[in-house]
Amino acid sequence: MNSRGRRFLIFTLRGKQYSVNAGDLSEVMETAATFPIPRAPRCYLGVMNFHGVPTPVLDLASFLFGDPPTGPGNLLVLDHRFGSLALRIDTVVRIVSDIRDLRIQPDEGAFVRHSILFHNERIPVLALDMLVDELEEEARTGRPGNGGIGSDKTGRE
Amino acid sequence: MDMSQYKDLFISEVREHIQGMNEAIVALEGAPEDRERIDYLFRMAHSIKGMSASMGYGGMAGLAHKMEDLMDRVRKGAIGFASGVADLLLEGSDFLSHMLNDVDAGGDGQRDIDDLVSRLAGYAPPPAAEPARTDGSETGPSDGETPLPGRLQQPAVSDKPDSVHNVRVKTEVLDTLVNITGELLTHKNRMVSMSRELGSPALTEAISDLSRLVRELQNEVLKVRLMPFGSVADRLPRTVRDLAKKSGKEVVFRVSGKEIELDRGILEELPDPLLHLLRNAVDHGLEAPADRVAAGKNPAGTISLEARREKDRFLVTISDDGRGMDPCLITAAAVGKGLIAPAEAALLSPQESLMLICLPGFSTAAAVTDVSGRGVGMDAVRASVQAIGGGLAIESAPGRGSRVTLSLPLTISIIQVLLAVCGTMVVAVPVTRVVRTVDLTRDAVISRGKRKLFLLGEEEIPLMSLHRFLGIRFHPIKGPSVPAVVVEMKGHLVGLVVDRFLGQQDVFVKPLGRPLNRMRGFSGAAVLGDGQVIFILDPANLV
Repeated sequence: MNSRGRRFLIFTLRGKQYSVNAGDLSEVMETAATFPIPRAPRCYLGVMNFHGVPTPVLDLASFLFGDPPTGPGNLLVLDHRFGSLALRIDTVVRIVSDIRDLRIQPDEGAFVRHSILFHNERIPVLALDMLVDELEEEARTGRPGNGGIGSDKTGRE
Repeated sequence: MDMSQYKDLFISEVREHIQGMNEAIVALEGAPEDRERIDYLFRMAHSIKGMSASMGYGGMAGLAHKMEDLMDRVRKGAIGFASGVADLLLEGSDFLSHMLNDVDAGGDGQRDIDDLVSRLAGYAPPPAAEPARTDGSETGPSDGETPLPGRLQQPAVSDKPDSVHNVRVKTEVLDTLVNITGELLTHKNRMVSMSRELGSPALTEAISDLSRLVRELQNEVLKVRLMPFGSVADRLPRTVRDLAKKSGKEVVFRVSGKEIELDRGILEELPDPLLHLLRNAVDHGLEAPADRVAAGKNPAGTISLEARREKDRFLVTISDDGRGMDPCLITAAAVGKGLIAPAEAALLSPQESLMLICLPGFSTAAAVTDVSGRGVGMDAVRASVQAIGGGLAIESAPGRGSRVTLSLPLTISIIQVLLAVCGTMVVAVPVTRVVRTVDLTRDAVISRGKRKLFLLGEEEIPLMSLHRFLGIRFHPIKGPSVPAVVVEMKGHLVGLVVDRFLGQQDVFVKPLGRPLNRMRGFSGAAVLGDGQVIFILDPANLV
């Protein structure tokens, strides 16, 4: 599958590289002031005022691996078609686009459908729709799903 | 059916259609082959016919019908769009305009149109091709026609100029206005907050004036979004009739409260829940005619849809005189499906048992029909109602029928809230959900085992920590008094203990987007003057 015309933002999470489709993001920003969310699991850092829209901030590593948040990191604000959500990640590495050695290949795993092959490294592309579906279900039931907080939801070693 | 409430909208829309027709007729004279305009003109005449007929203005409908027929001939290529056609159509358009003015003035819109109608129906193109008029000049009677008395009696278009009383505005524009007003409110609150810190009397006075203006703007903007409940309810008799026919039942359907106005945002969310509830009432609530007769009832069942206002809530009740539901059977079914534990079931009140039909996974048509007569899609109904800050209550008696009441806010955009502090969190309780606030002295708090309660008049009100519902650690209040807000939860009054109150404030409600939109007990969020984001409590759905 060719990646021509698509851009991916590569970021790190606990020392590993992940990516998201850059077109699925609304903004990449520094961390912002947050306010507590009632009944929220610990993986939520709070809710921020993003241009007047209450936007919960999810610590992605805490959600995926159960790790406690570390350091300031960056926020990836998702495009509004996914809802209102920002993901706290460790660092933004770079944006790759439309280059010859970038290939997309099918992959499997929780919240992952594809990976990009970049400089011979396989980098999982987070399927944000799956992620938001899971979070919505957890908000509805009030219970963590897919293994629960503290477990590795990616199913990876 | 009383259609008078739609008269203003009818006049506004028909006036727009007539204007559109005039423009199209003139344009077609310059480009008689313009297929798009020919079709447009036909549709306009057709629309006016339908709208006039539904409003009971037969004269207008009849005239529009003949204009539509003439355009149909043009559309099918039987005749060309010659100047004779344009003259007749413009004449018809003028007549329609005068008839509409008459309706606007309180008349019946009747005019002597027989002559024009016969000329529209009998129009034949002249033997030689007519040159199409392109310069817009007056040509007088065309096609060699002799002016007829009826035509001479036609009042001049300009004898009573049209007054523009109404304009139709796209709903997106109204939504944008509400959003801007809401943001203005948020910024006004921010200025109030800053003014307190600065302590400038001049600034305080200016902000006070600004507050008044923002409130006036807010009231006016919210008013333009109001629509009568009838705009949704008027479609339902047909639905119920069709459902009754399909299920072989006889139904008398009664609707009341159609004139009550509420926010368009609420109205838009109502059709699906109402449809679910009416379908349940017909399909599963009402018995077959023979069964009703055997039970000593009228063979025709009655379903009532009643809308009413109570304080700042809009209540919609759907009731039927069908077989009703048995709380014991419902509880047993829920236990059987593994939805609740037997020990939990034993503690349920009859009303709580009825609410089990709203659990996801409880209802399948067959199972529900066997045990209760209700339940299809009730989880979806409750979710839809909760999503707009509403609640749902069920009453039923076996053999006597069921009643489902939806309690909805009148508006979902800008509301007044009571701000309360719990630990590190500030939460907002809509004032419409506040029964009262209390500041209890220590000795007014009664301990009964692990439970705490207080007396409100004669009634014992249980006290519960709001901290617990918010998922934050509760530190017992050490002060001399215990502040609490009394709200209704699941049909019972409850005192929710908070740390302290911050007062009341108007806030612009922002709906919670995914993924928090399904979080129970909260109907939205708002941004305070200091930029703080707070959540708006929905007490009825907190547990």
